[in-house]
Amino acid sequence: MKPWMPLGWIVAGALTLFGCGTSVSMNTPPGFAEIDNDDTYDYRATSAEGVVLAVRHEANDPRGNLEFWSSAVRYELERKGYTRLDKSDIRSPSGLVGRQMRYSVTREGRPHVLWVTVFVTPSSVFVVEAGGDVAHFEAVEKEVDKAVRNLNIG
Amino acid sequence: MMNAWTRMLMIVWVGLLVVGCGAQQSFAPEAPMAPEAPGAPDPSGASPSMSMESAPSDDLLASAPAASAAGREDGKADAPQAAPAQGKTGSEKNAPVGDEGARPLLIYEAHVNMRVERGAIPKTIEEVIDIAEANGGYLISRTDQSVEIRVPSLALRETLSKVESQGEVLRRSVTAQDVSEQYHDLGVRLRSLEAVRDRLEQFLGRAANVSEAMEIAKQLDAVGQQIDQVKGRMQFLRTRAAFSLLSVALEEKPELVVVEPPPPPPPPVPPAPKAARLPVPWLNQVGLDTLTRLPEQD
Repeated sequence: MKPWMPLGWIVAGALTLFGCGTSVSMNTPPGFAEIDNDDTYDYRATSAEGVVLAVRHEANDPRGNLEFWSSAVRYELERKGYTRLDKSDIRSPSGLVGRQMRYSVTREGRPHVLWVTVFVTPSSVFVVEAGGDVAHFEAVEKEVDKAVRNLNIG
Repeated sequence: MMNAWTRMLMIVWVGLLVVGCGAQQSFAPEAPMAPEAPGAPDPSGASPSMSMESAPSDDLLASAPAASAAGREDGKADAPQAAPAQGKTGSEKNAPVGDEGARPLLIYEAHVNMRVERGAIPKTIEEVIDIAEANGGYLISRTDQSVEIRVPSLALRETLSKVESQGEVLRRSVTAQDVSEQYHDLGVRLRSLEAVRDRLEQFLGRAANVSEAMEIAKQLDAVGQQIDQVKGRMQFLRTRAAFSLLSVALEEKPELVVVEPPPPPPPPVPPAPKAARLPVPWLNQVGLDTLTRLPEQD
């Protein structure tokens, strides 16, 4: 064992412990393929018809709770012309309560849907987005819903 | 004793007298004529023929008889009995027409245009007829929108007042035609004819033979006819003066169309309140635009 290896493990553990290493993972639904991302998302997958599922996490800064960040996301989307259809609270497998908001919007003359689910921890804000053309999204809606509810937040 | 020549001369003279009287005006009953010249003094102040297009002046209606009695019809030439005024004495009532202090013989006609409620014209016409009959008058004619009645001249003012209360008066006119002089002239003529008749009757009694008697009888017949005509004309004028004409034309009130004002425009909906944009750059990336922007393959 090389001498620097224990130090690397200590650093990794510290990073994990102190938040920079907050992890989130999602099971890729059937019919979807994970795609390489830029720095925007932690995970993104797409169906062949163009329905996209993605997760991102950001620092909880300014420090806010679920109500604050779900409202911030809501106002941002409504400012862009999205129409809210529904709102509900869901719970992740780890017990974290999130708020899911479903929206509709018209793109290129076609109706589209967007689901945004927000989870908040003291240090991070997790945003799960899923969206696409209504006609294609309805075909994979159940799979998307299952993947979102099984989001792994570490 | 008159000789034959004298009798013939008298017959010729009577014949000339009869022919001369027959050349004067016709006595056929006709529409009331306007008086030929300013006539007898008018104690009531009415002019020979007055016409008023606005509200009837009290003067004109005041000269119309207001008492209850109608004119007498006695056929006497020197006593036109129509329209005795209230308060007048008997001597004034019977004063010959045309004499100073005598009352004129006036024929009144009133015309009224009225507006009534919608659908009320038939009912109003019936009311007018009832008013006429209640005041001693009668119906002359009626149409869908008008009615003509005659009422005793003494009751004209009261009848007019009652009729006008049935609706809104739009126009009213009352005219008085003074036929006093005409009546007076007829009276003079009648007296003259009667005198001729009396003389002929005397001649007939002294006729020398049948042919002479027949000639006198023929003259008597002609005089008699002229007397009847004159009397008829005088009777006509007295009747016209005794019963005044009132014609009423009716129209409905126009239908009022209530134009509802347009409803006020709804107040402008204020725009939804906008939330302040948070200084969180990643919020702007939430949405389909970023979500569906797939990386390009190298």
